[in-house]
Amino acid sequence: MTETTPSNLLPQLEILLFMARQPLLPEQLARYLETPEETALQLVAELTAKYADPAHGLQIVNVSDGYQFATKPEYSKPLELYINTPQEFSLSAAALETLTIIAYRQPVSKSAIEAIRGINSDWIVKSLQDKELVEEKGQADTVGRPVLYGTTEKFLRHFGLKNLQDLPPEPKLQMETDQETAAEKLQRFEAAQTAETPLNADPLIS
Amino acid sequence: MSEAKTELELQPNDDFKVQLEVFEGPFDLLLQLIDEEKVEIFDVSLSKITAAYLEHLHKMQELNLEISSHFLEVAAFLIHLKSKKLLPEDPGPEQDPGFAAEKRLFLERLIQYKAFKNMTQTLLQRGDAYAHVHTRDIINNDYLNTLPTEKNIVFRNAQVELLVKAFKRVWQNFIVSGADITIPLPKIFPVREKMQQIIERLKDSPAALPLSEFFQNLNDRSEIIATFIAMLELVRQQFILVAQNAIFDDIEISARKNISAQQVEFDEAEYNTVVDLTAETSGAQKENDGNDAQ
Repeated sequence: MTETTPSNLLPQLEILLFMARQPLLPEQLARYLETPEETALQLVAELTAKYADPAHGLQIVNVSDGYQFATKPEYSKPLELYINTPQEFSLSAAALETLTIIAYRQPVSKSAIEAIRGINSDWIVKSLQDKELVEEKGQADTVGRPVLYGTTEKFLRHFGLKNLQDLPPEPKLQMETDQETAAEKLQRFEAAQTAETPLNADPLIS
Repeated sequence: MSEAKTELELQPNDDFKVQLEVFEGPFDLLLQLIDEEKVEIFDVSLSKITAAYLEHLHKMQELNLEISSHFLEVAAFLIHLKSKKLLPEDPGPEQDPGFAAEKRLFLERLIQYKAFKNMTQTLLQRGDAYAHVHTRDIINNDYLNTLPTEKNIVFRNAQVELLVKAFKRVWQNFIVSGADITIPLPKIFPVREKMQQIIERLKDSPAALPLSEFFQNLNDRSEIIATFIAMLELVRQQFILVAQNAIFDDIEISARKNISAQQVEFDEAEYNTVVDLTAETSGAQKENDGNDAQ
């Protein structure tokens, strides 16, 4: 076995990433390569650049805070035929919607999810749990100590996310935006009501 | 099973069409309606939206779809907003602060929901982009040499139309291949025959007969229906008289004088469709009956 010398580090890293079934965290890489974390990350960058070449079918991806080999999507088809894998899961619109809410609001209780969706979400949360995209993350300290839900590592891997900070940025939700204050918006809303149809033509009154 | 029969009607030349979109919840429906008005949330007319919202609930009702209480809650709130609108404006300088807050909260919830819907799309695109990026654990997963489990079976785009199309295809193949398919049709009782039977029975009897007598010993659903239709038809054509002496008493049937069974007229074709609808269940019943006899 060769020594751990700087020139050996890159192929050694390649082996680690190739053989590992889970994403390897920077501190793991540093430990196994017996090198500072900083160096390990530099090596990862170097290897990533090498595999970016179209001659390679594999790439190095950064998911759930770690690094691993993954196929390049444009070359994946034969593998998919070989494995005969179905699309791992396709989520219904309701499930996706609920998953989004959990992803951005976690840890979140069922009742908070329901408040946003405006409809009972128990069953959907359960099905997301069954698919291992969502898990219990403890209980809230509020009355009734409701169970709080959050996303799993599988969720990150499925969507190719480094971590939760890697989620697409959340648009501004509040009534206040840069252009218009809440009061102005409410005024707009009131104004829209005065321009309504006359009362006698109103279907609710007739 | 027959209780759960849907109200959807299939016309012979109509492709199967589901007219109602399924909404994820009341906000989903509201946003769609606002979208149709082509206005922003703040520029929406409550009257129009409330009317459209209620109309949609009615349609759901007509289709026997279960309307969750959440839909009704939002309907109630919309009507509440409107009812406030109808009352004369408070002349005092202070407006009801609670009401303003309610409105604001409602609009906020709508905006929030809309934002999440948009984010869902973003996330979905992200997932799609990553769908064909595989890692080693895919090999190790239970995909190989395992029967499909609930977790990995996916019915993509499973829709009723696809089922109907698939069935049409299968059916076409049958016809093309010239396979001999005989579908046992349940026996349909001719109503005209029934009408004649009833009259003859009534003429043989010196007194009026209770209605229940005609349905005794009938265990075939289509025969029961044929008997019932025959009864109605005879009343309509004034061949028989119907009397009930007190509420909940048995109904008594008697034939009018000077009529004969041969005078009975009946357009069978018109009624066969009705009887046909009941054939499925009665067929199964008959099978059971046959088994019992053996």
